[in-house]
Amino acid sequence: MANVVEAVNLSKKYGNVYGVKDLNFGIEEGSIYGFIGPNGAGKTTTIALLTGILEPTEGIVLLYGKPLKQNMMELKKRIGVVPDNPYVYNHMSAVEYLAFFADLYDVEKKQERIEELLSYFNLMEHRDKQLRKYSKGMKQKINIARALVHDPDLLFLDEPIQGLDPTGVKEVRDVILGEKKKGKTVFISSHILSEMDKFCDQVGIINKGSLVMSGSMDKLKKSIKSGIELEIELDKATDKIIDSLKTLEYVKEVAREGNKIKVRIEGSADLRKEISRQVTLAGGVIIAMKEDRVDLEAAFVELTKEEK
Amino acid sequence: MYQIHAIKLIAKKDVMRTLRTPGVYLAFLMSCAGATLSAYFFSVVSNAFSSMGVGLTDIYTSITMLAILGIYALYMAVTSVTTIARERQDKTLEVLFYGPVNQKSFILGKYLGRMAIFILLLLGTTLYITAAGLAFGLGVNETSLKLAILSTLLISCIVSLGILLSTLTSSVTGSIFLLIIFMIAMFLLKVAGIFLGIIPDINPIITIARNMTVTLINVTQYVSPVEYLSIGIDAVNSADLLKYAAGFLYPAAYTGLLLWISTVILKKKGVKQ
Repeated sequence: MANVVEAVNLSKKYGNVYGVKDLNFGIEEGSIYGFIGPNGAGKTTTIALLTGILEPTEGIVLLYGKPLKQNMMELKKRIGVVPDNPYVYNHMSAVEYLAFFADLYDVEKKQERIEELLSYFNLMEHRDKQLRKYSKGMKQKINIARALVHDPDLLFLDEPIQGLDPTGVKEVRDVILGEKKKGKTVFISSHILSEMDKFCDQVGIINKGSLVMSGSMDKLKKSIKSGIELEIELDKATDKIIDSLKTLEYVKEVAREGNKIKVRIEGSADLRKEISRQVTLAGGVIIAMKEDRVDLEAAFVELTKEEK
Repeated sequence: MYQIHAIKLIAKKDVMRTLRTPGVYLAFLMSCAGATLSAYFFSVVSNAFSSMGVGLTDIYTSITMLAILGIYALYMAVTSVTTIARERQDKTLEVLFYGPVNQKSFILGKYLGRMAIFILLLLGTTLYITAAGLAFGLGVNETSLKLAILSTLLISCIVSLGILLSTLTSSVTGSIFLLIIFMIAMFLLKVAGIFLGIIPDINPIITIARNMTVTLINVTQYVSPVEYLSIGIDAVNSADLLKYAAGFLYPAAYTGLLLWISTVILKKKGVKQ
């Protein structure tokens, strides 16, 4: 499938400091691309570069195969952007706000589209209320509705679930999946990896302005140390015990620390009984055993920590 | 084509926003109150003016219009200088630029929005001044129309200067601060010019200071929008067609240049905080 977004050697410098450095990645048409990184990693800067709000210091952005800089107006009509906070015209009502942007994008059947979006986000009864009277969650919904008003082919969302209640999170998730169903491409940035795990086809991990990893979600899961970690305290940790544990197919890694052995196991099944048996067969006496579950979130933290 | 569409929408949005703020109504009410007082005053002293053979209608219209122009100039300066700074501060500028809007259409939209508000105010005020003049028996003539045209040119200069200053700042407070500094600098320069003009050449330092101030005043007369009103008034008073044309061209060039600089600054500065 063709890439609708391509970042080629993309860098943004602020003075002598790089906001993002040498980003290279592509996003396939119709996919959901999760852009993950800790706060301050360069996610918002990347979105600003990909949407033409910031000009790169080096490199280029291609949207639908065309350089963004040279085709700015044409390409901007095909994208919708939800920034990290709901910045709205507070003096306007929800209807006026959406109508303004619908006019800006020259949307046909404007009224129908506005009503459709307001109904979808359960804002119909607040349609004529000034946005200054909206709660943060309601503003975020209107912000997403604004980004969708012209039915864009490519949607950028910067931390869209930040500050939302569980219902709001579900609504945003439904929007994203709904867009994918329509064949649209979604770029979503977040620092909540577990949330991204639910719907992303592709992911990019950014840390300190550099891309640590980019590819499919499966590739990410394989590349990071997920699973279970067992810490076994023995009377004496011998090579025989270690070699014996290494023969088990679900054991990924064995490390010795004094009289303790750390065993990393793939998957989430409880295999303590089998491990104990193997240790005993190898002549070991177990004094204590502690289990640590390493989920995707913890693994991501580990991954970005390694880059520091 | 698309730019014209965006310009119209941005201008309309600004007009609608302004019409929802009390400032515009306050400025209009102050102008109407001023016009009423002025009409009353001139009707009371009309006999004295008649005996001097001075055209009462002209004086009433000119003084009233100029006083009201002072109110509007201040109002337009403040609203223009905050217009972009507010959008930047609220980060709505960023959201707007995610759409099919570029710097040129944004600046022009802002300018036209401000001018539309002024023209609405001017129409209302001119009608009110005329009505008050008739009500107090002061008569009507074409002076108010001439002054209305001149004031539009002056306000155009003020709005474009306000927009330029607004592009330089990131907050409403900062933009007002910049406007105040600009106004104080212009005022001090004028005062210094007058002061140095009346001091005799008692030592070379004063002569140097005077020459420097005169040069600075000569330069800044192209920067201060108020100077363009003087050019306009001179043009109206003289029957010289060239001067009259220049009275229109100078403010138009000033406006065009400042809006262009604003576009360049906005491009350079970016729309993201």
